Amino acid sequence: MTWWSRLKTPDRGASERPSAPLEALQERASAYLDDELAAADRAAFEAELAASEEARDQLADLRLVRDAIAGIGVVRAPRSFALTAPPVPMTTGPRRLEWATRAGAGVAALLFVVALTNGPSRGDTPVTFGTTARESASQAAPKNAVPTAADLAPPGSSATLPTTPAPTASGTVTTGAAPAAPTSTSVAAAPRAAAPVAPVATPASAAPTASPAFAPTTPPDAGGAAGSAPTTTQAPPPSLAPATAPPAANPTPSGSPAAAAAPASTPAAAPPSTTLAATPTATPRALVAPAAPAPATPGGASNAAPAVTAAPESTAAAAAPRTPETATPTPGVAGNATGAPSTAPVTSPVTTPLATTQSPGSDSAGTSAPVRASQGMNGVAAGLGLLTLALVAASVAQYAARRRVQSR
Amino acid sequence: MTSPAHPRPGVEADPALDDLIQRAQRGELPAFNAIVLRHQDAVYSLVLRMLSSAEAAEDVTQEAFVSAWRHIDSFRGGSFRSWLFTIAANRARDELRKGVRRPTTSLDAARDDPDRADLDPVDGDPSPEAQAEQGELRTALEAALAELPPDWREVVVMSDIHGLDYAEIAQATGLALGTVKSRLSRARARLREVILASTELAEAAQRLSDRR
Repeated sequence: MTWWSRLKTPDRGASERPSAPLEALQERASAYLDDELAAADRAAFEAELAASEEARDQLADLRLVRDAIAGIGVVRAPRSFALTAPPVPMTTGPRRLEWATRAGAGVAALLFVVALTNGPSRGDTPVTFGTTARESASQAAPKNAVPTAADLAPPGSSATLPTTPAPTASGTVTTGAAPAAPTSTSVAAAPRAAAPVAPVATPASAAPTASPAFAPTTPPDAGGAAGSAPTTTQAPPPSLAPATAPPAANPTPSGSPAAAAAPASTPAAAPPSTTLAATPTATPRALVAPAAPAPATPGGASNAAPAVTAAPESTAAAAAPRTPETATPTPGVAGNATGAPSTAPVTSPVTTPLATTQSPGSDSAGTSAPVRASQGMNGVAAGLGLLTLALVAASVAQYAARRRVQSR
Repeated sequence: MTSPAHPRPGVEADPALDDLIQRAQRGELPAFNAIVLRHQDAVYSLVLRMLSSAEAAEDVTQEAFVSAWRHIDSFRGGSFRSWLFTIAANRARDELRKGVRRPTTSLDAARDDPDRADLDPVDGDPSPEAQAEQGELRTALEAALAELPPDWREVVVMSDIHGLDYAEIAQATGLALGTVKSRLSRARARLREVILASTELAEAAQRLSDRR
């Protein structure tokens, strides 16, 4: 078969066809040398060889070249390429799992970063507890109110406050910063600082203190009886209500009747107690929590229950620290709570909230919604971090296993 | 009138090889390894001349045999060497396409290294004089081969060193028969110029051809 006979068939070597008679002769001679010509073409080329000295020279040169190249020889392999073990076929399953693990690790890492960056800033400053309490106190207190212990305390020194705040708090109470109660800020601050401990300690005496703090949650009739009208008009913060609903249902009634006994107590007391809450005691809430139902029974204002359920923590917790009377009858409880019975009258109401603020993750019974929200975010972030680490470790392990298989 | 060709090596039937192939297709690794030992020099030599790098040639050769083991069921008869060369050449072309630069191996310089006995030709001439003469010719031809376009070099190595016929080369390279003919002719013409450019090389090549 000559080169022109291939023009009718598709050929990838169209651009490589001989463009000159010499190249065509060389190609025919090369094919003849390799015995790759068809019978007819071979006969034709042999006739050409007989007639053309150039054709014979070309054929001799090509034979020389071919033999010389063949003399180069085959190179020995440097080693054996025999397979020591059958290569394990890589199915698509492990690869999919590996990619899924990688993708999961990436998503978890992204969520972790998002949780870290956005989590703490959400809510009303739940992360810096001391600062939050102080800010809440300043917001809750009226502008003309007597400076509270929180205001007087240097930043970050809330732990020293428990010894001195009692008079201040009581003074504040007597001063009567009633307008502060209606503000939602004060309500929000109270639950954050106060725990449901106080009402438990002294069901009867807790009432007076309860009135200002949980005033928003107190029903109108109970508020009227207590004489703290402004507080009754205040609606509980929506954020607090659902979070604290179940546990403090009972303490609230106790506060309602007691409110009549302590009309002087004002919401202004809440800020100090809130600030004082920085005192570190983790246990009190746990100690008094079981006792919480006790004060519920005497509660004459049983109709206050719905409101209490709406904001149980705020009512129960904030009620306790307001007045010295609250602390006085319950030295033992206070001593248990704080570990310092001598300061019981003052510290029992105060330190109880401290436990809440100091140990946000200890339990959720007396923790306010923002705090718990931040705790939740921190927990989510920590969980995502752990998940990221686990997925990355799994991905690395899968990759290493695959490399081991491939190397075999 | 000149006789057309000399017998092409390696194309004769091999019943033992057929038996090994069948056993390998049944999953017998020792049978496949026997095939590997038979063909590893040829495969490595082809890949080495295509890539001009001993390191890359080792990797590609090993990959080619692993791939051959995995796909040996797809071998339906014909030239097993051509089938094996197809896998190896495809792997080598992939390596060339990657463009990864690896240290090139000068076959002639490496042969002077006693540690590189693997570069000795399998069927070398035992005569020292002949070896020296062939060495000079081989040096010139290796250099000329390295200067050829990769497509041409692949075809001429398969044909003149490994003795594949045009159909086998076409199968291994995926080219049309006409393209194989054309490329082989041009490659030989280029190498002819190199050999005839030197009287010593031409005389050495002539003596080598006469011995064959």
